[in-house]
Amino acid sequence: MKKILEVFLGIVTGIGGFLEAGSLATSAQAGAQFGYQLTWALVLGALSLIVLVEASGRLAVVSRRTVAEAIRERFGFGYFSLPLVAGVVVSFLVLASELAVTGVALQLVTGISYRWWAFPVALGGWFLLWKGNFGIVEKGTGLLGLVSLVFLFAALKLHPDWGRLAAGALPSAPKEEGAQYWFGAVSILGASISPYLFFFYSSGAVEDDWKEEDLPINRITAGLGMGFGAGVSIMVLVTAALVFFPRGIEVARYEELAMLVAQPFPRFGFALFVLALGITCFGAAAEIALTIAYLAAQGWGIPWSENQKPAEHARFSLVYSAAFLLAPLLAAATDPLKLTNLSMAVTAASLPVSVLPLLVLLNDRQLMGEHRNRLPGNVALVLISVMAVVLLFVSIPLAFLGGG
Amino acid sequence: MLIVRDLLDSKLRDTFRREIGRVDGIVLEVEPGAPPRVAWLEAGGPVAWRRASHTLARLDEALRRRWGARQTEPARLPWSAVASTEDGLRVTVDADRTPAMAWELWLREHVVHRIPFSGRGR
Repeated sequence: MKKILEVFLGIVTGIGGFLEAGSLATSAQAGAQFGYQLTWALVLGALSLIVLVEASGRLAVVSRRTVAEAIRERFGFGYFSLPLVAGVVVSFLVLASELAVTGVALQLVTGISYRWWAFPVALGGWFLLWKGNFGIVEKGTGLLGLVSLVFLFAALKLHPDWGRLAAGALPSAPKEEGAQYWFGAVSILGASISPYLFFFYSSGAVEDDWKEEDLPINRITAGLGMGFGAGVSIMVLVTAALVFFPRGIEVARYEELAMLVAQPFPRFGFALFVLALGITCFGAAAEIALTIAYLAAQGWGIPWSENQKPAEHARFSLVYSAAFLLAPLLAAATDPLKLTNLSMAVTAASLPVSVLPLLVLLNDRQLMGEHRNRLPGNVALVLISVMAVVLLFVSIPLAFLGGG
Repeated sequence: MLIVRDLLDSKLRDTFRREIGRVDGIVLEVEPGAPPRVAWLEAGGPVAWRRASHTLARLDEALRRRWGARQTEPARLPWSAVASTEDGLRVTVDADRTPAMAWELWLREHVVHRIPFSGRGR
């Protein structure tokens, strides 16, 4: 019974915790500009994420090491400094963007600018980490994040063309606006396959003390939780394809996204949208700040755990505190949508340094024993690695050409 | 045991199994007529950054000097103190008495304990 509950919670938090500023903005922009045509990027991103999350969870369970710890031990500090610096910089940008967008949700209700809201939101996120524990951060925000299912109901209410949606799941070249189209694809992939997700997930497996008998739970949570979560992102694209695309509206600000839910549900859609935007981005901010602290602490061998009081792990707690202190300054100084687009492109560029080591680690006989990768897992990881290397070279140029 | 593969970057635990840090550097002792032997393990300080980039190591050292660091030198633990090499290294020292924990203890006392809900006294 306990296992069933764990699986259920894992799937539910996977769904509720999936949507955040990056996936919301990139899916909505893609739907608004290209209809269903970029669905394939979301499907590809979801499949890649499922493979990476399952692999990092399995690595943590079997080796008793998080991804960051295993990279440092297997490749040494010289190499580890690359994913460390890239991970901290990218996560900081994404954290600032999540704070700004949570601020936008509060701005929609109060009329007070997100620039001011970024600071109390950061204080709230810091307090959640300072006073809470891992379960509250992950499961609490994931469960509340289920309000993002409003995009599923909005899409169903608008009666999408399922045939055209299925056709969009297959990659196709654009007829015009090529740079914007490919930038959209790259941003979607960056938003879907954020390295912070698998650094966070593997740390969670250690925090929750998963054992080898929990490997099936890891597989199910990764597959169904991330799969259904990505399904919500696809529904954002669908609503944007039905609400914005026919009218030629291109998304220029987060506030405009309220129409996606307000049109199918005129009475309470706006309120649900504000809740979904605020809760999901706030939850993501807490998880990202925690990931920055995980990365730094695990790399240096500093004692870490969100399940201990801050006084037990002073340096670990002060790393996420510093992140919450500095990120609102960036959030207040920039346009949320531009910051999100830039951080998604940078995330996509940073993928190889975190993804490539997984291929070696998952095949390490000493580390993984009988649970090391088999042929299908290796083929999937090689394909993702090739894609990550391509993204490294194209994402930043496309951000300039395609309007990042 | 291979020094670089099995020792370098391993997790260091103290005699009470508390995490001290990682093996950031290894000091070898060379005596005439004898093979080199591991004399010390280094943890903390700018040792790790030196392995990644000399520029970053210099930046690290400058920051430590600028901000009145508690710990400018790495902790040096004698190889003779290594009690176990299973799942990282366990050394027979008290972590709190090594320079590796100087920052942790200073920050706990002077910063974290002054913030509400830090769990002081637990």
